[in-house]
Amino acid sequence: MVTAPEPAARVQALVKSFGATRALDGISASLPAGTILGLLGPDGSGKTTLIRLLAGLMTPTAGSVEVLGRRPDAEGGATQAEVGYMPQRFGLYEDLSVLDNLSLYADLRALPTPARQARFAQLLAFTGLAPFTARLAGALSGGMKQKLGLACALLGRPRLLLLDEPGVGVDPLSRRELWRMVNELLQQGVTVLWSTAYLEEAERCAHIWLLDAGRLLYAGAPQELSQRVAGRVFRRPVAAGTARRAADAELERPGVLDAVIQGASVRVVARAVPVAQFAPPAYQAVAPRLEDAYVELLGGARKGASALAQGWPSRAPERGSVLVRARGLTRRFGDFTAADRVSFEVRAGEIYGLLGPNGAGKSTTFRMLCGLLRPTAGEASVAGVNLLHAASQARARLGYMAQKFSLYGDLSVRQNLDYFADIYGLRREARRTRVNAMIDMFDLGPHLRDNAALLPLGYKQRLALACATLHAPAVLFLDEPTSGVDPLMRREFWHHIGALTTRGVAVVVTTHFMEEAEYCDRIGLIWRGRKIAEGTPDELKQRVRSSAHPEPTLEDAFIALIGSEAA
Amino acid sequence: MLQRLFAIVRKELITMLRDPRARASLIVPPILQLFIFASAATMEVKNISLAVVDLDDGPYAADLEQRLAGAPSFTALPRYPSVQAARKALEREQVLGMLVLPSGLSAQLAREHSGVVQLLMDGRRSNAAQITAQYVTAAITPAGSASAAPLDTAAAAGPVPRAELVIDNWFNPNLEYRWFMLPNLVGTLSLGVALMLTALSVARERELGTFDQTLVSPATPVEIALGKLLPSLLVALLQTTLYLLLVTQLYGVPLRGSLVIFYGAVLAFAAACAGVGLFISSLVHTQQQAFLGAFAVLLPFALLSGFATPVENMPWWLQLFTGVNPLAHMLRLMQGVFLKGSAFAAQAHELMQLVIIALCTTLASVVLFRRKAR
Repeated sequence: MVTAPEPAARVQALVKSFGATRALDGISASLPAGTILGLLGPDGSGKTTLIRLLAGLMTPTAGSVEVLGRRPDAEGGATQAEVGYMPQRFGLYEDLSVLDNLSLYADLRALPTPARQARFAQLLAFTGLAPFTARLAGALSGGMKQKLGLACALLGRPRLLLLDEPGVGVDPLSRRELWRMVNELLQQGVTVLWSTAYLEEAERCAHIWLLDAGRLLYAGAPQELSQRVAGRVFRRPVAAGTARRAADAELERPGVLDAVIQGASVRVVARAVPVAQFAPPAYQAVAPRLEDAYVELLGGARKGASALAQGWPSRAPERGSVLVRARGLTRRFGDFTAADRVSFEVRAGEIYGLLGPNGAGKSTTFRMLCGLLRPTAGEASVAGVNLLHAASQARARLGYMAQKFSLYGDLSVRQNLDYFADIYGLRREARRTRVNAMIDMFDLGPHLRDNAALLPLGYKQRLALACATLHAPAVLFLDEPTSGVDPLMRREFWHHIGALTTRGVAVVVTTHFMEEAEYCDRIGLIWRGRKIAEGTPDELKQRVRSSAHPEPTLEDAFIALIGSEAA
Repeated sequence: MLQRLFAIVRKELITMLRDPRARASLIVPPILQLFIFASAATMEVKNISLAVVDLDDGPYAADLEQRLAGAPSFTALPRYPSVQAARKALEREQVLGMLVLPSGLSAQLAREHSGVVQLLMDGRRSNAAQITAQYVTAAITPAGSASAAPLDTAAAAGPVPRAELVIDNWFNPNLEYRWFMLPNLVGTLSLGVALMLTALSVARERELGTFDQTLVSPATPVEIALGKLLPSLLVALLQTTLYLLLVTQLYGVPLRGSLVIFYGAVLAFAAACAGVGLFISSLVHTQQQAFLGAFAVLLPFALLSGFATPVENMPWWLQLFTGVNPLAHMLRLMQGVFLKGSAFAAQAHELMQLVIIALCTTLASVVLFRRKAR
């Protein structure tokens, strides 16, 4: 870069408060024109607030916002014409067709009629939606909805495009498509802001702003941030099936900042150079990644054994015994077969991942397994108890944690714990010990009287895990458990889950995020209602390894496997 | 089993009562509604202007006129010399109707103790006209009836001893309408609460995702359904108790019947409504749908209960519906408990019918809920 061009947007000591809470707490940064900026941070860190301030939809409490050389709060209409904004769930009218939606947004933007047809054709070709103009927006897949949202945001030929978590609810195939489109826009000179809670997306951006609890932790190129840990990152291959234990052991060593599982090896980040203790051949130096540096920014992974596993009251089941069995699970909705003869087994101490794009049938399969949906054919059993014949007993053996931490938000932390203890039938002494143990383990004491809805995200996750495991279930069902949380919270969560497997708990997890999939022992890939592949993460990667692709990621494997199935 | 049921009930009650705003929304609007409807939704017609066309010019006309003028509802009784003149005034809506006293009326009354007067009402304002006609009828009945009582005593007689309460109402419009309204309101207002609370609470949990969390627990659908029904009953009990105090202490409506019947009726009625609410909630996915569904049944229940229009005036097939409409039974029970103090046996019979309806709706809704839960 020779001379820095005029930034597309600039914020100065920006503060936005809602009542007593500060959503943004003194942010200063500038967005270079003509590039893509990744706005990275966990849910609730202030990403959406910042975007809405840039779009001129809010006024700052203090500080200033400048977009394309103007202040959006002072002269809203002027900048809005040049700013395209795509909210998280884009305001599509689900009962209108694709073309009607475009026309409506063209009307709202007061796009002159003669220019419309050409622009529509251009955008439809660009987004690949041309064959679907007559389809109702509500009938589109998640990825197609995002593309239509993008087309609507692009109608006014914006110079700055604000995308609020466009990758959420979109499968990897569609996500690649979105990136292709964004890259084309960048070539046309459009500045793009892409907000995300996922590092793999942020890593592809030219610049990132890293938000945490309303503060800016970092602004700059992601590579520059990664370089901060350069020379301190190592990979240690380990024997199959021992990765989890090895990672825990690494983390306990002094001088280790972070240790995570990566297939059949452990990725270790040292706290500082020199790093004599991580010498080859056991350790291989590898290139740093954004996540390594992010963890350092947040202060490093929490050490210590999982208290949850240590206080686990039930006896470990025999290793290798089958705790979840799905046999020919089929579910039809009218003519549509959402799940088609899905079979698999999960053994004690195993983490099994159901991976697949949205609408592929993984949620349907998952819901049948935990008794939320009755199968049309086939059967499911949990801890040897058939879900159809003895539903209540089977459900007593399983714990369930949904994506959105579905706890009772109007109830206090204590009331939530008591409620779940009661509906799982814990009696006097056991009830008191378990509830108190959970409060100690997860450090919930200071929040006991707070409404669950008002807890910080990390505590919500802890409470949800506490409520799901109060009754020491044999099987845990997790539905995208760590989407939208920061790497430390994700590590803490999986640390507990990993430790529970040593107590013989079987875990079934659905996800379409590769960061979560890496934690699985085995993965079943679900596509169009069928299980099209199964294996360890490394096995799946191995299947698509080629000379062109020597180091495929799980996402590459996912896309290649689906591609070969579709062909 | 009981532990789980109590846990769900307690959770529901906390959800309803923990948040100060939610708590207020359970108490303040119903009380406001009671006050507002009690003063606004009376069926009295006031400020009546009634034309009098006196072709008789005898003693009876003067007497009748005096009686009408004595009733506070009639603010003006303009005299017109002819039917044609009065008709013009009626067309211009200066008067609501006209009372025509034919010539020779007084003489005929003195002779035969009966006579005919003509009352012409403005049909465009049918409701007011109908009620006014009843006022006028009430005023002239003792004289116009075939009773042998002489005119002058009839005027002073007041309520005829063997007359029923219905006739009482006509003689004391000011008081009796509120007495009629308030017991009805107790029933109608608690209808909405029990039905809405149940219908919305399941949909709300579906939207928040907490419903799944409870469904994957060992709690059975029947326990969950009961856990949703019982809190509505408790809230209805609380609210009606509040109403009972307000209606009797503040408005002075007598409580002539038994409290056992009162609370029995409230419980059965709330159960019937909560059952309908649970039924609705089994069929919908969002709170908006639940709200629309609840509204779709609330209106027919209220309109076909005898609250707004007398059941006797409905076609036979609608009368059949009122037989299964819990509100229709509830209103009769409330009337009985507050005003009539009619025989305990008659009320017990009515209550039994309500209990049967409640059993039907709750059982049906639990069965449906069980089938739809997964």
